[in-house]
Amino acid sequence: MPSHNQYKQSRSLFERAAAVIPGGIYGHTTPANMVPGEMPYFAERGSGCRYWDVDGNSYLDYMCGYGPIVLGHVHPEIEEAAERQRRDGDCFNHPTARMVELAERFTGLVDFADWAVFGKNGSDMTSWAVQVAREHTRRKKLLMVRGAYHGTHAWCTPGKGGLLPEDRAHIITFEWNDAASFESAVKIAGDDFAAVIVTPYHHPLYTENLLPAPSFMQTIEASWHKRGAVLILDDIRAGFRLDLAGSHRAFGFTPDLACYCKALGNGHPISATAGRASLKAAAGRVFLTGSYWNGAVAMAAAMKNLEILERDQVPAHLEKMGRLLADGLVSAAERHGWKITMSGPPAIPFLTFNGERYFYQNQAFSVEMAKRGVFFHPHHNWFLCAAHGPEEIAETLVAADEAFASMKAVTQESAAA
Amino acid sequence: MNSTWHEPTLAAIHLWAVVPALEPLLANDPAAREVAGPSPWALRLRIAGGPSATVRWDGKRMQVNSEDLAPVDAVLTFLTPSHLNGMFLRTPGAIPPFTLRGLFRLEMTRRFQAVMDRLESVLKPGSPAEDTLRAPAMLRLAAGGLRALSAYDQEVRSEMARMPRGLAEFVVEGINCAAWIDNSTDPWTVGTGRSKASPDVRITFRDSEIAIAAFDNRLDPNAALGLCQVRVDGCLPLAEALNHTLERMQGYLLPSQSHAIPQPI
Repeated sequence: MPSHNQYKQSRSLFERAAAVIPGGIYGHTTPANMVPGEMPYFAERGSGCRYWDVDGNSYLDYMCGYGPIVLGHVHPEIEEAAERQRRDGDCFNHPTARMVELAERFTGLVDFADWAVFGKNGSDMTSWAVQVAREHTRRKKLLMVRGAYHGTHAWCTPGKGGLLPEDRAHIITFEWNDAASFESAVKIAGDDFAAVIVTPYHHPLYTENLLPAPSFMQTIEASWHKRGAVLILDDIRAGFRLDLAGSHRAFGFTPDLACYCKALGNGHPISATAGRASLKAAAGRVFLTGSYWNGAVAMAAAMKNLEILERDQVPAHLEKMGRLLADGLVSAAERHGWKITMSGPPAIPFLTFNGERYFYQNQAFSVEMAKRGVFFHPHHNWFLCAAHGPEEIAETLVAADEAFASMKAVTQESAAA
Repeated sequence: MNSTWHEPTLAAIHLWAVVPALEPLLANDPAAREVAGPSPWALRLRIAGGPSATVRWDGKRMQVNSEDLAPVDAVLTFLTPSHLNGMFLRTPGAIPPFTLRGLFRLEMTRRFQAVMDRLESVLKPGSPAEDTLRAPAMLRLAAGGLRALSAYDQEVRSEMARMPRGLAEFVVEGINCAAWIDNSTDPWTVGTGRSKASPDVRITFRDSEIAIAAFDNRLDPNAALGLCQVRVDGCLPLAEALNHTLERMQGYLLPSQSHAIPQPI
């Protein structure tokens, strides 16, 4: 048995945290969403595609900070660019030239983009994009896919606390990959149809990730154009991992606005929205700012990050490594009598056990992998980064082989009990 | 914040959750058995054209059943849900129920009121009663309340179509106390003890103190999970959906944290 699975410091820190922080750890990194007590709570440091927790356990990292780490932790070129800017200063009375340079590079990369703005988080961007769409159309109704995640603001948060019915008075939901459901939502919106917001593929928690069915996005595209509404692509999670021109390119449609964040700064806090020229005037009328949104360090990091993503053709590498991982996991599972499904794009995969709706197996598998120094999330899609190479994938598959074998034993024991 | 006081829902909570909490109370509490008395009695509370609850005391054990329509010693009939709620909440000027039968109804009503008084003293926040007494009663109250909301609360009913469905089991470690909820039926089905089938999700409270804090709405759920005071095995979305419904039920029972449990006359 490996020496992992010692979480004393994590537990000790969490006890302190719970005394002074609501939830101890809030948001998506809460232990409540993993397997509490059997996975790490707090990180210490990272390098490449590995990180260490506060107990000194190391992990091959398949969450990558829930997406932002696209090249690897503490990437030397990124950190050098950031440090260079840091020496000159970060937060001024004005933006620096980095903002203009980044907007130029960004619009040169995202194929439909005529302009770009920058923020710090995904929620900043999706909420602002919805306002821009409403300003442009002078309409209210927003269509979104049921169960899709678009951030933490009141109109879209998956949480329940502190909400008013009015927060979602103009939201109409439809089912993913169901054109009839979408058309029904359009009818409900009627003449007040302002926008539809979608992710490039459906990646809710606790379920297989679903790619768009053939022509689903095109059906939506035709509908919104006909009605003069705005299509907002929430590419926060997948952006720059599937296609540097934007994830819409991978699925054959073109949005009016697209929001990015995770893979933009390789861990430096920055998000962006890109838009068509036709929405630029409306965008200029929707107030947008934040205390740190002009921060030059994150912009310098993003500039360098986009350069490397393009130079090293990172999306192609992620797809290749993702396929290697997925094929290997399916084979390892089969060797031990498990049937699994790998869903989502290879660069952002997710594993589910066939016929299992309880997640017991996902939870058990993630715990066994954590014991063996591999961090897989039991309920949320995973992320690959450029630092994952064939050696790391092979190391992962050895651990997976042991984990599947171990799980079988545990399940049989449980059944006997 | 968004709790709407819906009289039929509250009445169902009284009949299907509050009154059934007498079962574990009488099973575990000698003081409650003492006030219930040595002689058997049976009483039904019913809303005209609506739900009912039948309470049967055999001198040792109490059973409460919402489906039991067999003869009883007395039937307390309420014209409307708010009529029943008025009695439980001791609303000033509330009209007493109509008693349709029962020569000994005054004595039975007195005993019923006495055990309800005991239940309130056990369940109220800060009660000096032992946790091992409170936890089973609160678990029964919670399970019954979820069923009531699934039948009558419009917000819950509209969310039911989108909720994960399955069997959830609640277990309080350290004491022999469990309950289950199957939300794949309409209304939801609930029961005490371990579920007969393998649950889709199991919510385990480390001890009765943690369980009581959870039912009192005093627990920080994510912190409790991280500290392993509460453990959720299996389908987390189902647990989250039930927790949200439970919070809504607490909005009925503790609208301003000013009273713990409605009172009979």
